Amino acid sequence: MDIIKTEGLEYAYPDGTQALKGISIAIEKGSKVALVGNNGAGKSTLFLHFNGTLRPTRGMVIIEGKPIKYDSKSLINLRTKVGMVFQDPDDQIFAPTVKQDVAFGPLNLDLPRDEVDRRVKYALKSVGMEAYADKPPHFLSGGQKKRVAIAGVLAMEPEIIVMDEPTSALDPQGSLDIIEILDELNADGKTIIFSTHDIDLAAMWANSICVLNEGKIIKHGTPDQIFADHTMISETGLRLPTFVQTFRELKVRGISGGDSPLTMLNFVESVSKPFDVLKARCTIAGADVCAGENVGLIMKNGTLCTIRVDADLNAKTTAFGRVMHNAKAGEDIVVSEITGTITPKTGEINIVPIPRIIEGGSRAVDLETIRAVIAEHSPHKIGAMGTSAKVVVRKAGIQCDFEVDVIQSSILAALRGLNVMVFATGGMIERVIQKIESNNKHSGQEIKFSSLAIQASL
Amino acid sequence: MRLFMEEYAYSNALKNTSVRLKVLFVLSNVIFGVFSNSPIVPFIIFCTMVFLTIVMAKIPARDYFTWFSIPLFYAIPLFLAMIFFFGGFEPWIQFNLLGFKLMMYKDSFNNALLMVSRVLSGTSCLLFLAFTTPMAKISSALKLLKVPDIIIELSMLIYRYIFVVLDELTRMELSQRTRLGYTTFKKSLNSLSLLSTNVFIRAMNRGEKLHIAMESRCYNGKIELLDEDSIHKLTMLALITFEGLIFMVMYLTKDLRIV
Ligand SMILES: Nc1ncnc2c1ncn2[C@@H]1O[C@H](COP(=O)(O)OP(=O)(O)O)[C@@H](O)[C@H]1O
Ligand SMILES: [Mg+2]
Repeated sequence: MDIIKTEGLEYAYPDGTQALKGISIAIEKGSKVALVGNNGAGKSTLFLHFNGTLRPTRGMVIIEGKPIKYDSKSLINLRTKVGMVFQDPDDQIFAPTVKQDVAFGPLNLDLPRDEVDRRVKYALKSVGMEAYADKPPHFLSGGQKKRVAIAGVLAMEPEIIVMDEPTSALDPQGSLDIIEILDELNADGKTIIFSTHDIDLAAMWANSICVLNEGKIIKHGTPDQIFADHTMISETGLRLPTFVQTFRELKVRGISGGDSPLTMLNFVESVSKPFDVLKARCTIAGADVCAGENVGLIMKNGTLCTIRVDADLNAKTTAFGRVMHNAKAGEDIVVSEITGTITPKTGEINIVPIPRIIEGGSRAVDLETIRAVIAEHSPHKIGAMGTSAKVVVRKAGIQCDFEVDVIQSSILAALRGLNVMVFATGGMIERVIQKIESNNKHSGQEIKFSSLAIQASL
Repeated sequence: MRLFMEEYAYSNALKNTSVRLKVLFVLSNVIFGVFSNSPIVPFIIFCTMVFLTIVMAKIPARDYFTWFSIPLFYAIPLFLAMIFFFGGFEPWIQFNLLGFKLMMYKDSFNNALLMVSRVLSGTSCLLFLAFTTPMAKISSALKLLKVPDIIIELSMLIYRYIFVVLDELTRMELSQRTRLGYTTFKKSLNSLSLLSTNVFIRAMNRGEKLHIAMESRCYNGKIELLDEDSIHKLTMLALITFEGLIFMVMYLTKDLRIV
């Protein structure tokens, strides 16, 4: 079902600037939509129509099948449904403390006091800012302010979250944190719409992309559809994602094949297909060898190379014969030529579900059980996705290898033959399984996975 | 940007004590301190306040007395001036200083002592409030004092945006400075006028954007804030007892003269 739809939307600012020139889009419920376009394309203007702040000069906005009405009661109703996070958190956060700011929306809805408290707590926890509840906003960093701004909107419990440039002015870690928060909200069923000019982010994260230029929609489709249209991209002054660019360069040199990749995973797949080199890497890491053993490899040209496997099952070259590459401890080795047949062995991915914040979060988990699960499976790599999973891992004092882009990193590790354990919060488990299954189908390399239910100990 | 005592106000050991009680406490102490006829009452108040701020609220004594030195800077010269140069009726001590005859009067000494003790008590009261009360909580105290909502809301918004605008101001000024905007007097004037216009326009802009953002969260013309201010019965009792005692001491010492 389309949760937001616009029909022939036109808008001119009072000074005569025609910012929107007939925009018709439909946004599906539960999707993650990225609106990309250059500065001045009209992204912010379009967003301000979604919650009724601006009134179109022509055309209309339809929310859940009903056109927006602009009387004050309908607007309040609309704004509890569509939450808007503005680009600059300083334009949004006005109260003297974080908690008071987050409570502002719920208090305006005339909710009972304990319901307000519950929502504030939930919102602050969801963005990981509960420790800052009584701090004044000017004590916070840019990324923290952004989270507070999100919490302020979350506390209204909207179904749709609209964010104007959520990652602009944030450092890479801060951006990834925000993205993960959005991911989690999406897993909880919320529709997320954001604008960005970070093409890589849109490609990696959105499941539909809408290209806006000079107040018009140029194209709306899945990332593959959008980035396959190279002429459209260059005509609108955008650029292709880094992976797509690199891939094109490799493809014209006959190095990689297949479809245009959008993620590191696709990319590695498309590059490694015609090559044995990376498969050798899989074999070394995944073969039945123990740490400390030497593994011999015979190269195509007849040279022999011995590789010593260290505790992490990464190989270290100690070598006689010709060593192709001196890897440092813990690094992957690269062997450039291989003879004989190599059967790559993949690792396993174990998924451990962690309850969501509303289900008790980290408090519903016994840390000893977590440690025991890890001791039993002794995974090579550990990942955590979702706020409460991260809290659990941190509390249990476990060193995490993957905290961002967890699914992809885990699959890449498993393809190298490493066993991975992923702690995942609530609705994100589905997504992990989906991704692994689709990878298994595409790459032809079977990654085994299982979900380990741990007992909740309340 | 951070403001002087802010840090302590948000982290001191008394930050959770009811702000309404604190304001009531400080206010009544200021009044008692000012209306007392002898320096005894202000002096007791001063000692209590210093004790509360340093021992109870755990504010580092060094920072506290740094702030305290500012009023002393005025009070001590004034004290000396009052003793020696204001004259009086009852001569007390007379001595020679480098050939100048200096005369101290009893009544002026008493007055000077009272003045200094009032300065000390008043300052300690205000510093107590400043060091132990986060700005965020002042609004509930203002409500208690029946300050109109519009003023409370304005002061809250101003408090928040002081930091935002100040930040912008410093950045703009720095950018002017790096482009040699302040090298001569004339250039300084010019840069300063540009700076102030720009800051004003930006502040207006922010106001507009803030309004939109607030409306997006169902703002309806009245800022409703979460106010948490629970009054502890024991604290309340202590306050009443203390003020009662102070009042008694004030009554008993109303005719007391130190010299
Ligand atoms: N308040 C305004 N008054 C007049 N014109 C505006 C205003 N805000 C934006 N515009 C104009 O509308 C167009 C779209 O702006 P905007 O929606 O902010 O773009 P984007 O968010 O994609 O960068 C631009 O040409 C911009 O100059
Ligand atoms: Mg914009």
